[in-house]
Amino acid sequence: MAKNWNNQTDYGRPIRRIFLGGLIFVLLALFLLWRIDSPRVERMRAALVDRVVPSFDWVLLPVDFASDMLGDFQSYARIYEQNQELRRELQQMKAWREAALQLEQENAKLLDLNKVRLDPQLTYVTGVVLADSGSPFRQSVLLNVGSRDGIQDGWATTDGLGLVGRVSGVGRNTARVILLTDSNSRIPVTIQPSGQRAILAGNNSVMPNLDFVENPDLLRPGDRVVSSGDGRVFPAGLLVGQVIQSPGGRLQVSLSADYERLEFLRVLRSRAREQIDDPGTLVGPKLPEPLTQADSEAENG
Amino acid sequence: MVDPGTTQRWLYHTLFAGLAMMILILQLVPFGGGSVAVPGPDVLTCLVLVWIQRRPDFLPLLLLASVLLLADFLLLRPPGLWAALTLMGAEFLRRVTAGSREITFAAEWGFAAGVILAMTVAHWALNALVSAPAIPLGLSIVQAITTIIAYPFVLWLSQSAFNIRKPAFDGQNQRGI
Repeated sequence: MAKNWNNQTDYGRPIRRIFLGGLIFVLLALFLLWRIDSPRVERMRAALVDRVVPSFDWVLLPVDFASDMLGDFQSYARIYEQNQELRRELQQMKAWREAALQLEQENAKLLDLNKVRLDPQLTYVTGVVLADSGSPFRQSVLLNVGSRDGIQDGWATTDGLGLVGRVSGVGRNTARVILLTDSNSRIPVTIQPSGQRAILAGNNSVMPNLDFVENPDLLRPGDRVVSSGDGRVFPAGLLVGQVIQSPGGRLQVSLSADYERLEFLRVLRSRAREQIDDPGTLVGPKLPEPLTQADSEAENG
Repeated sequence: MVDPGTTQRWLYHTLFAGLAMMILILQLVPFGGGSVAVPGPDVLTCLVLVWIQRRPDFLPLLLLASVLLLADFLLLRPPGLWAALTLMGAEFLRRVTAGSREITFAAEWGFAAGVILAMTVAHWALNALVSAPAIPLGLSIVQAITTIIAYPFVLWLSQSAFNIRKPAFDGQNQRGI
């Protein structure tokens, strides 16, 4: 009676069962392979994403447009407040600009006097954000630049103002950027003006934690946090954000980059620095050659 | 002359693939929300669990497995694990409920909730077993709960919009009307 109700014949069932078992086995084997040889499978993933996601472009365009419109509409609703706010900010900015100009001139003079050699300017490639990570537990974005544009793993990305994340996973046309807020992100930073070193550890919220601070008493909320260049992870001196203290007393960083609207990201080209691996030798007068056995015998005899 | 049942099945295969792609795209769209306190439901899993109990013939195993694997790859999950667990859960639900028409909605929801929770815990446990970087169990359970809450909506949508119902018992009415 129940036979044939879902179009399966009697011999179809065992075959289906075997097939299902085979599929589950293959999938679990893939999982184990990923665990054993992660880089290879992650390269596979990058290649697959590279193939699939850019073909969504035509879908993303209208959706982006709609979300932009929604955002614009929301901002129309409070245009007066915004105007006031902007005027105030502009006033402050003018003061800052004046200060910055004076400092720049002073700096240039001092550098000239001291003959200081600074790092060469960083160059960058700008990419458009294609897609999110798609998972609430991962914080990453996909850019439309990849190995074709010379992008390499580990390069830093900023949104023009503050650090956003690092490149991790490069396809031919796409590159994935792990954001600083991802729970796997760890970045060495320096806190100014006290010069304390710390690790910026993402925690899947908008404010990453500051870990391993040597002396937390020296930090004040509002201190600037910049990348330190330790471990040669990132170029030094990129702005990250400001120190804040959570109600629980934990030190966190309010990021300077605007994480709400990541549209265009700059990938900074960083070249590997030359490394000094020579321990250095004593500088002194040239020593005489040590005497050999034959010489000393000749002297004695 | 093609059998109308076959045509309909192929249509539904395409429909399932299309729906799955749509769900994935919507999850991937950069809305800029970033971190959220409550992770949203896993709609694709819901869809699979709803369909497999009503029309397993619309979800051939190979299509199901490839869609789930693609989702694993695109959503940065450990590849293969969640797909395998979903296949197992779906097969279990099919065995339990597919034979009978008289199962109530509450019972079905209860079974589905149990399966989703079991899949979540198994996912966490297997990740911990191979010491892979896993999502904390608490957050995954929260996502399982939102998925369970989303289940009736997916069910309702599948029934009203796509007419996914159990076929009549005698096997005569393949359309399931």
